[in-house]
Amino acid sequence: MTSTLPYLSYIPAHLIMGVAILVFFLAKAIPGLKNVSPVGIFVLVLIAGFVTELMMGSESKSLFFNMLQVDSYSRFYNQLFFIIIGVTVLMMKNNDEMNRSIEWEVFGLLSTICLGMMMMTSATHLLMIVVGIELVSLPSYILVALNRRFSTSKEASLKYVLFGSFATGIMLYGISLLFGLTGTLQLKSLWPALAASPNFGTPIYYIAIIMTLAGMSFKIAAVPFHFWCPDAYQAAPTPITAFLSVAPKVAGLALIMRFFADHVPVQSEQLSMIVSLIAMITMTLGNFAALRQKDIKRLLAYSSISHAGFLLMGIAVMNEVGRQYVFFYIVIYALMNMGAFMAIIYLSQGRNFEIKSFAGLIKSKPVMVVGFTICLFSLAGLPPFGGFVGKFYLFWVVIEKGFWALAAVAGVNSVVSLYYYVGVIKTMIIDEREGQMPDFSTQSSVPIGFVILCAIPIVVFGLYWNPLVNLSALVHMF
Amino acid sequence: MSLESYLSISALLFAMGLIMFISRRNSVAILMAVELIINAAAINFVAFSRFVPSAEARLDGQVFAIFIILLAAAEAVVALAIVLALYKEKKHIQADQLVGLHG
Repeated sequence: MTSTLPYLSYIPAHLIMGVAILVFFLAKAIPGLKNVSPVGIFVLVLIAGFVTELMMGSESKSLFFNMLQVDSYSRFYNQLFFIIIGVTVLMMKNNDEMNRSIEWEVFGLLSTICLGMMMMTSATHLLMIVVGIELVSLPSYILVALNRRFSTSKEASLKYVLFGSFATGIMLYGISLLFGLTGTLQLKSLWPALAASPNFGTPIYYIAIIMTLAGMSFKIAAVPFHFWCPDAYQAAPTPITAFLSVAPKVAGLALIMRFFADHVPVQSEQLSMIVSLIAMITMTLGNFAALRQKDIKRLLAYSSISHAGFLLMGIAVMNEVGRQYVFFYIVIYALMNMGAFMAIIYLSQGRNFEIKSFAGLIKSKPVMVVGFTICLFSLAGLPPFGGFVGKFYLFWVVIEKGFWALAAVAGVNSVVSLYYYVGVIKTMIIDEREGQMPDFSTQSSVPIGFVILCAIPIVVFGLYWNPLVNLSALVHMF
Repeated sequence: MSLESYLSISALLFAMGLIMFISRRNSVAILMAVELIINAAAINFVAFSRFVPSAEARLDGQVFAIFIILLAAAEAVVALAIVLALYKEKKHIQADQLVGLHG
């Protein structure tokens, strides 16, 4: 009888999050916890998780009968999640779209999502993949419904839950077909068994893989599972929108990379073709739908769909270099998207998200608008900002592999995306404001500092990106 | 019964779920469609692990089926809670009349 207990020392951050979930959901029943600030406890939990993941080093280990794999790949992504959730907490402090009295439960839900994302980055077993995706999905359905200003948030949440469970159903059916084809659920033995199977290359093989990809592409909001994304992003409380547009998307991408990591026994051309087709359609649809948006949160939702397409470029090449540059771009993407959403939270004051209402704000809040502009230029991929370098590397790995069509479509899309980002910037800087300037005197100045803190590294990485390249070279699987 | 008959039942369930998901307007009916799809997957798992047992993992499929049942329950709980909250606000749960968001 082998014991799995020693394995627990390899996943300290998971254990911390597990305890945190219990504490947050039971908090109102535990005497003495009533007077403690939930934010303080949650920030402590996040710091503890971050530090333990940091201290684990680069050792790679397969745990629980090859169900989870902890390595520097999973650790780097997990550290990113802790930072993103920390920023989300900071956003919640500067925003009043959520009811303060349910803070304990909200942090419980966020801890559950964090645990699910950590499982997604290290899952090497199809069952763990499903459990991880569901741990992320179920709490996010509830978080979307918590906006008390916007009565349509429940409607958006219902659409989210219906599409989400549909995507899960499709994925489960696909996994069952994969299981039938191979008789195994472990990714390590799945691909060799697929290559040896008599059904290799037949339609059922492609159907099984595409259906399995469906659930994962739902998490990154890739076409054809993107319908929930604009509605959920528009109606959710803005901090939750910012969180959803970065963290679960990153986890989904990490999961897809892990899923395809052992694909070597099967010929990779067809798999690359499938992924690059999804990438092309996703980025084109996201960009062209973004062109006619009037609401800033909806615009950023479509922009995040098109960024999922760009990031899939790095996955389509299916090699170590591609995975490293995906990490490189994800770090920059997290910086610029979190910066942009913090600016939106500040400038809209949680009330009016129409792009029109941002007109002429450069006159009253110049520093904030400049920071926001840097984030938007970087999202558009203009030099000399970090977004340009990230996109450049993704183009480079794709062209090196010889996927010219993918590179051409992505190039056209970069140009198109410039149009709608510049539209927002023009409204803020050039347009004259009709009527009164909003009053910012009651707002704290923490968001301004945060946006500047995001804008500085974006500019620095745009000019001197070696440190980040060196960091992403450390992100190894196995 | 052979493996084929189990697989055809599950394929039938899957197809029915798919058609129901696309054609029904009531939110609860759409949820039922999703349950059909999920249960089709569960039948597949049990059938495959009974008829095509692999040497090293004989019970994988059955354990997966149990997880699927739990997962379907958890999903139904969350979805029905959201449907209830929506009903309190709008007094209906017709998915095609939820048009508060577009652009």
